[in-house]
Amino acid sequence: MKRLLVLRPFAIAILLVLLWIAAGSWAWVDPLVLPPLPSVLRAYAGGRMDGELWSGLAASLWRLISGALAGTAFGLAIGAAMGFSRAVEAVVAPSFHGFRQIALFAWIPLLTAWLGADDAAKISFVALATMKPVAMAAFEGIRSVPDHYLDVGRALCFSRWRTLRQIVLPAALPSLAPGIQLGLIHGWMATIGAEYLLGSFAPGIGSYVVEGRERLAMDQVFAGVILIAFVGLVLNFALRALSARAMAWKGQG
Amino acid sequence: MATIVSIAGALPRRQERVAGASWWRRRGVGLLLPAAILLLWTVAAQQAWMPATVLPSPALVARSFVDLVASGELIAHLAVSLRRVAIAFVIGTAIGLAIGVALGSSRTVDTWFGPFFRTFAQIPSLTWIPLLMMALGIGETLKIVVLAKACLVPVAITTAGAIREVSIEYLEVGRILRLSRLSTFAKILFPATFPAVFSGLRQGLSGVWTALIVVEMMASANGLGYLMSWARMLFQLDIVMVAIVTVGLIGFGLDLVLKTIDLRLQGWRA
Repeated sequence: MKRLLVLRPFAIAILLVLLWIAAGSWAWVDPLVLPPLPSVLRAYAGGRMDGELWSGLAASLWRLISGALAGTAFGLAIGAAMGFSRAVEAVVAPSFHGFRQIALFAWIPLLTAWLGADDAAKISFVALATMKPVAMAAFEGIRSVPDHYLDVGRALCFSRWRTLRQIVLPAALPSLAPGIQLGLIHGWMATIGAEYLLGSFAPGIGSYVVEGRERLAMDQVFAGVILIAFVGLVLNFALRALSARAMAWKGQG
Repeated sequence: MATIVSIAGALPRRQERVAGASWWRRRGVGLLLPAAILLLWTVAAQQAWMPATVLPSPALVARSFVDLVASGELIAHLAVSLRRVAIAFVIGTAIGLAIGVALGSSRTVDTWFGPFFRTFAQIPSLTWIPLLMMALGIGETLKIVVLAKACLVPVAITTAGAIREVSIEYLEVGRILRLSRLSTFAKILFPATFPAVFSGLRQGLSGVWTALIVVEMMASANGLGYLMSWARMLFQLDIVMVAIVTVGLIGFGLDLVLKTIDLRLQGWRA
């Protein structure tokens, strides 16, 4: 009995799944609102749409990766420029903070008007979503490098590259790593949001869900939403593990 | 090492020496980039580098802004949106505080319910919209549920964290003074957790504002998000731009209100 207590953190989740199975097998709820668990599981393998589901997921992940890479690069560049140079900060920072005030999804109508509803618009949107937190984190990370660390580098006549690699980067990482993590989470949210909003013509896990809703195929909606949530959780978990490794040096000091 | 660090910390930093004198210059410099963009935009529109439907001129956007305000249309959509934000913020804060207090003050609740809640919290609100649209329809309930969820998550998490961080010594002082439960809350818990909880409220409100735009674009017949997607469909980009600016201004304003309240209420710390 004692050993079962290990399961406590999962208790609520297990209970919900059991309730779901029970609700399905005794038809407590309209299957149009809550489809039975087996029919949702069939959507992942052997259903009529499972091919669409997995190719959609691949398409979405591709958008996330290309958008997040571009956004991270761009964000690092802006953040670093503002962090290293007071002049750049004075010119760019007020505009950047103003731009940051605009809720992310407000850009969708303008982006689609300029770039169409295809991958160009979606990937740019993901890049935009990733860029904001990464730029902030890079800026704050570089600013938080204590002056006396840099003085040590100067005293030891470090080259610019060596200062960057051995002083600035490790000192900025505690701020940078969570920023990149947040950027990727925002990127995933943007990928899904863009697919929800821009219709179901191109493959994507978000389009799969929207299409399921239009056909009133609730099992399809459930399967898609659960997969989206799952991918988000895995991303979050993996990135947290990575950033913990990147900051291992802090534990020793 | 410690002395070296403290001496280095005491030396005036370059930034501090510069900051005082050139406040005005810095502000002016900050206007350079927007001015340059505005200039480029004006020239681009005047020379018709892009068709006017794709890039409306700044003058047209300004005129549309005035028109939309004068006709009351913008205000009407804004009022609908703000009403949704207000209702959802109140509901979300209430539920978030309740969950946060439960998770923060009881180990039992936290071991059973905490992991589930924290996992659930990581899933962005917008993921649920299609599912909720099927279950709740596309009426007002859907919007309130999505927005309240966006608010309750940061409120609950910061509240739970803040309560757990209250130092044991404070609570022991309360016990020694035989404070009642109510005074322990009013005199110790509330002041000690307030700053963190309030930052949760600010995160919650900004989350509500972001979620509002999405949910109004996906399923609404009024509100700022609807105005944008409707104008986009008619390819009236001037109205889209007016709405974008409004979204930015209101988002900034909402945060400013909470920030001001926060600073007022935290007077005791100074």
